[in-house]
Amino acid sequence: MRDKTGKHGLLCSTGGGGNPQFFSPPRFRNFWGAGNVFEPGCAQCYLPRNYTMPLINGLSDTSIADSGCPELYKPAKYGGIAEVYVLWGTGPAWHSPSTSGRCVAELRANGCKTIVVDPRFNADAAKADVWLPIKPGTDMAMMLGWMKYIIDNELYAKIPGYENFCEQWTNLPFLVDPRDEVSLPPVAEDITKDGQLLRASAVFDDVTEENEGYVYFDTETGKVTKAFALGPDNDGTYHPQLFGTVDVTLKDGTTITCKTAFQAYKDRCADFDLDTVAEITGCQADKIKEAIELYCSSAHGGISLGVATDMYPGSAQAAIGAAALDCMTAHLWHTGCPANKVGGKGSSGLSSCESTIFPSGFMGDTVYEFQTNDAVLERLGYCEHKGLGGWMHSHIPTILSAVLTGEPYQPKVWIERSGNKMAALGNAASWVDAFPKFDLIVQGYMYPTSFTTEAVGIVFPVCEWLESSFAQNRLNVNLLRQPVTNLFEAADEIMMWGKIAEAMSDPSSDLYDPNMEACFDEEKIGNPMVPPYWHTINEYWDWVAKQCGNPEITTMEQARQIMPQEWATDDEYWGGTTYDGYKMVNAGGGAGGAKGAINAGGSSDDNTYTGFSTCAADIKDDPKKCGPYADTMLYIGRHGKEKFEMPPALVDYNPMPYYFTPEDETQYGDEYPLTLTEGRIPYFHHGTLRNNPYLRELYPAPEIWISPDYAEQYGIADGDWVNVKSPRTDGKDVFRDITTGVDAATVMAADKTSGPSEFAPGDELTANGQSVVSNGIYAVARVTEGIARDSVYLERFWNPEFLEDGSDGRKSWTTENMNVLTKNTGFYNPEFGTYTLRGIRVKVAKAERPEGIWYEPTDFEPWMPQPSEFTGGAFYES
Amino acid sequence: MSRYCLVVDLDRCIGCHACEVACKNENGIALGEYWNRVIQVGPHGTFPDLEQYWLPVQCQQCEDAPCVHVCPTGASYRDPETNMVLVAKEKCIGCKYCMMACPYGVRSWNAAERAVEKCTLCGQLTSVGEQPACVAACCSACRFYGDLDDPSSDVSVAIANADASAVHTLKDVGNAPTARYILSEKTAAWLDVDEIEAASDSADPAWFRKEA
Amino acid sequence: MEIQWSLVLFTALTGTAGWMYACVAADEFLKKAPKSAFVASIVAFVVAVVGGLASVTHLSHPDRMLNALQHPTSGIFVEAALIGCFCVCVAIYAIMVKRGVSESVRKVVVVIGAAFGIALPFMAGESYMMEARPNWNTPLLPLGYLGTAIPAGVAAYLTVVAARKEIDDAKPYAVTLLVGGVVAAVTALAYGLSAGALDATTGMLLALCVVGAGVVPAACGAVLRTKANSLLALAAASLVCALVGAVAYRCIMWLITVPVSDLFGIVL
Repeated sequence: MRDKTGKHGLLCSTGGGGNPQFFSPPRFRNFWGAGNVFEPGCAQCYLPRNYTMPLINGLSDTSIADSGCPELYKPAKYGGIAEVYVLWGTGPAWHSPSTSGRCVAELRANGCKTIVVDPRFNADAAKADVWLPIKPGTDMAMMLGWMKYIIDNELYAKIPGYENFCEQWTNLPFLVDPRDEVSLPPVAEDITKDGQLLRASAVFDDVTEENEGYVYFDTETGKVTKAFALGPDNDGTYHPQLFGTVDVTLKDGTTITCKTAFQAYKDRCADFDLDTVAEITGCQADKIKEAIELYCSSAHGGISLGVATDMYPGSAQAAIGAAALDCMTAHLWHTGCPANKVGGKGSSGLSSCESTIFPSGFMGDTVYEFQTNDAVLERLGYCEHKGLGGWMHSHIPTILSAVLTGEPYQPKVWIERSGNKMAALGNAASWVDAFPKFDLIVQGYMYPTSFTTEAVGIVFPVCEWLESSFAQNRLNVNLLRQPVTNLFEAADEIMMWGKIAEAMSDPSSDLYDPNMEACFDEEKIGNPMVPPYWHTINEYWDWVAKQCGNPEITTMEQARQIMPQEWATDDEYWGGTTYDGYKMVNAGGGAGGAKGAINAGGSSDDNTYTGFSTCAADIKDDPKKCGPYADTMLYIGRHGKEKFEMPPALVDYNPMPYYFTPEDETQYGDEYPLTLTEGRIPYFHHGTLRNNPYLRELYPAPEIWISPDYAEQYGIADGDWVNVKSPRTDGKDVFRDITTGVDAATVMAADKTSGPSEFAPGDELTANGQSVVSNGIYAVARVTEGIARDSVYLERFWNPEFLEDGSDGRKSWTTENMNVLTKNTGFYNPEFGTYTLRGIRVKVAKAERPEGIWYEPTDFEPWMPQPSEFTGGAFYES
Repeated sequence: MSRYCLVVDLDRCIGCHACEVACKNENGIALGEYWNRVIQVGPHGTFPDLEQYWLPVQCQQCEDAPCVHVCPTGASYRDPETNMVLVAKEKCIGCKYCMMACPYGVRSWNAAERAVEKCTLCGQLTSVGEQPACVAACCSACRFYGDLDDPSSDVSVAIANADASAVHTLKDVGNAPTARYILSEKTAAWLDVDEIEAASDSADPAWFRKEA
Repeated sequence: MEIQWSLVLFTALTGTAGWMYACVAADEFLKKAPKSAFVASIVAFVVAVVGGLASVTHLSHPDRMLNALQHPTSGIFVEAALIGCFCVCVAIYAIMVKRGVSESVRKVVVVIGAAFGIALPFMAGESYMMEARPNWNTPLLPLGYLGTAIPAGVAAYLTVVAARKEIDDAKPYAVTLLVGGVVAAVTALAYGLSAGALDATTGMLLALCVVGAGVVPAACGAVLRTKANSLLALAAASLVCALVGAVAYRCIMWLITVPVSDLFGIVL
């Protein structure tokens, strides 16, 4: 592959459950030097929030499932717990019962009011003060409605105790440059056209690139002024105009009329009055109003945005929206806020631990150049969707298109390190014809899955989570997951990558590759955040032990004796937290300092308050505001966030959220009347555990929740089997050629400058593959009032029983797999290239139970565990 | 005397079913057999003003236990030391009268051993000072184990901390169940077990149990 | 709940045996049908034993039955004890009949045995009265067990008497059969209606019970008053129908039961 097609022929992937070392694939790819990495989640799960929200609120994303939101775990005895908490598209009780589920149960028990925005009446909704049963895919409309109500009723200036926050600490007073004509996404070409914030260098003679800044209009002095960071010396001198327009004379003598950023927001949400929002979202106007007023009743709390919005092309827009709402209403960095910097210093001498293995370039460069800038630019779809760079991933549909067409280059070898791609990839059947295009597909996983039988040539049996070792900090405790007895002949996944590299590291071998040799050389790597590969599992375990935060621990044997450890006491951790640090000089950065704390927040010096750092990279005089107006996102779309300048994306990354009707609704709404949402159930994680007999006993088949009125209309009774189809199963929406994923300026595209793109797709590519699922899928109807109107709920599923001897393996992913309904076509959002897993349209019909599935409790008997003797493996020796 | 039992705070229970799986793991319960199940009650009400709660059920440790009365062999018995209702499987002749006599249907037929079983309050754990598996595994800290007659026990403290109007037992038909449930009006209206109606007419009993 | 056939047969057969033996006892005092006493006793004994054995097939571990001695107040123990005592009495009586033991001694034994026999069906039904099963928890249930056993037992006895050609001695039993049928019909109907046996299956079973255990024996009893010579046919027909009726009654009970709650959702 290397010699024939170049190093970019490598494709690595993960995701879908079961990989404790999330960064292993990009780590290997980066060592290797080129190629692509994806996971079915990423742009569809967490990356949009993880990447976007800190750029807006200057603190962190507020995903309680992922970032943790440690402030919410604070024991009540320390006081100042959250008073109002919005669970928006997140259901901790069911996605993570033992951690965040427990956390929110404690909050409720301690009097915290909760608002749940979710199509499903899940466990958190059942206990909420307000439940908004939102129609899937309409979250941005709801957010714009909240903003309009907050602006119209001046709630932003009525947040108890924080009435001036919005004025003093956000970038909303900054002026917008009317000369900037942003390019708008094809799904929302009628939205307001406000672009980047006005740069001070355009206004003031004494401002250049070296001291670039933003601009506001001061109501005391009556002057257009360069924005500045607040500090002890200038406190009380900042009187910005929040709304309206200002005439600004530029230094070239021309005069322009600028809106404030808040005015731009006001214009953006002008049409979203409560009745309109109620109509779009399916919620009741009075309930929406009740939710907004509850949300604004206290600054001590905020919004946790869940994965729901990451699963459709509004991902970036919703992440901006939720973070911007928290900024407008001062739900930042106070006691009780999910967006916070939690944790005082410990006196133990220990540091918080982390054994995630990062890729080169993620936390600082390596000495040896493993990959060129061009290799980074060549990542499929990266130039257009620069947010993917946050995790060093590529754009899945662009990869699929490249595999099927060979354009702009042909991926040849696929190393997949996770579970069942057929259950995890959107429009899964569109991948069927892609598999034969590879020379080799390798899978590392705990057990065979649908993907194994459908695609894989070589299987590496890798360890279950509890067979692997991992050190991580949670709150004030360092924890070590210790490897237990191997369940079967398998090795830690780190050895899979390491052994591949090892085979190519010997200069005398035909396979020799200098990069692969270098990735075993600590000196060549020259970055302690990027450890070399290990030859034996014991070497790796000792490395993990050394990450435990205790300098005395150098071996796994010691670590097993000593861990877990508190690196700070409860009192030090909770009692030492600095709240409202933005208005203090040199406020601590919370427990930060932890390895992996990517977003360290505002920097400080003695003359300025710590504030928030969200400004674009060209702004040198950081005014230290949180940035609900996402100038920074817009800037990234045009310049990238690499160490080199990237070409701009075709469609700008709009600085404010916008709503667009889901494509399935506009294109197929008549024939497919129900909008589908997904959402966790407590029993399974992603695509895993469908072969666990006790869990399948609890939940033998996917439920489709349907409201009584629709059930009656379709003659469906509770417990009936139902057939579900979408435009994808019916061949009406087929994945098309979108081959331009590489920017024309890169070497790879030297002789390819035109062709179809995602904005003008070419021929249908996957009609044959999608025909495999033309019968649709099957689920059991749960007729319930607990589902948004005109909507149904269905969670991912697959049937490992069809992988048993004598079965038709393909049925394992075609029978009950919701992801053959979902959509990897049409509009991908500019920022992340997110495709559509939620808010798709389906139709349902009464059906019979599909043959061959296991359903009765005793059907799962063959999967009950049986003990055996140790069978070897695991790379205990080199 | 002591009255050991479980108390479940339904205001906190999030319906995760961890107690159910923990019970099966700890006690080696076969597929299709149960000592502990979590029943979803609801949603009831008018959309979108709905109520729902989860009701984990197991042996209720009745003070006047019908299962003990009807057992012909003393296999179902009250332990003289702990006062717990237990089953001595080796005495069970399999007449199943106790299963018929239990007002809640929370006894289980062990098909392999052809004997009746039920929740033992994890005596193998509690006798050495540990919590029952379901309590230890409870994700939302809503399950408590202890002696109702000991004011300092977890169960007594949980009940003392709850509003008296929020403390319930399953319907008492003369059997005087000891187990208590805490459910306040704010979460949902308490329904007696014989008032819990299936939300559907599904003929599948397993399905009915999911959606009572 | 599923029909527990072993228990259906157990209660139907032991009840039949009990009332059959009650007829033996009556004739012991009335000094009638002496040739039938021994045979009827043996038949009652065999039917009771078969019934008892039927109940054992319902148990998964009959080998552990001796443990019952540890809990002598349970309904099942009482039933088992009644059957045991009944069988002992019947057996002793049969031996005494065969050996020509004095009447006075026989009477003592036969009265005790008959008392056990009459109590048997009632107590069998009574053991199902439990708070957990509201539509079992009524005295109408054991009364129905008792009532439906009468015509079966009487008819069984008359069948033996007819076979032993003591037709003339059977005359008083025409009324007994008539009354027994009426009692069976009334008690079965009372329970069936109170418990709500009105759906297609249980309604049909109730009708079968009323006709089989009630109408047919009662009618045969009425006919017997004028056509004593048809005893064998009428008694046999009554026996078959009464047994069918008794079985139907017991099936109703199993099918109709609704527990206070069945939280594990397990159908026994």
